[in-house]
Amino acid sequence: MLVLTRKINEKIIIGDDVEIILVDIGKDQVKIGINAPKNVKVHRWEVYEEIQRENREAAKIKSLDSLKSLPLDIMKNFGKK
Amino acid sequence: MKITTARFGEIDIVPDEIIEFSEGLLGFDESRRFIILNPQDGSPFRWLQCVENGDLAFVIIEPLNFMFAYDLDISDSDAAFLGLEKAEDAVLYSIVTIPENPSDMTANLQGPLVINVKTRKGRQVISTNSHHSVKARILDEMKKRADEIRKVTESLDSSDKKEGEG
Repeated sequence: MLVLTRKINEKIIIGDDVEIILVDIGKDQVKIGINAPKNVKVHRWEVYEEIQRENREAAKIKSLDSLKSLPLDIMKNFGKK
Repeated sequence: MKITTARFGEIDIVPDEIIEFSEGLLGFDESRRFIILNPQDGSPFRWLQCVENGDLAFVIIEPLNFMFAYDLDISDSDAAFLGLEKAEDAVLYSIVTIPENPSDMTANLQGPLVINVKTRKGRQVISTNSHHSVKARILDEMKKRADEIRKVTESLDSSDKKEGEG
């Protein structure tokens, strides 16, 4: 992994068009600004990871049979918009 | 076109109905083409079946099938990616997770699927709304919705009465 040392307001460029700037440094966190083209997705890593994990969990479902045990009054309220 | 699936055996699908998730879903980058299988029994749960990988399928549901409101802000880049020109062309789905106790089932509202019905392109987007949970409890949301509907109905009833009195 490449590790760079930067001061406040100093930048890093990734490729030709992703620019990262160190905006502020606090006690135990830093604030980072990112300028990237619209087609580059930028997200907090945890969110991305959590959705991946949830997708993997969801892919394990083999059938909807277990839903038959739910009370009928719940099921009949489904699907009405 | 026939495909072989783990859950439904061999099924016949219409190629024109295939939805292209050209980046795959998060954690499943290799699986790009999916088909939506509609239930026979009028249930709001559908299956998003992968065309290339018969083993891969997800249970999906439209958020408005169990929520009172679901507002998703689709970013310009997501709209451009999907070729989305009008909001009406977008269909939203949440991926459902069903644990051992089905009452605890949840829908992923933070990573919804957006499908442009015109271009048949799809993308799993990430909602920036902090109220959109990865694990929204479906039955709790339904209760909240029932309460909201009751409130609206009651306020309509009381305004009817006032008009009657005058």
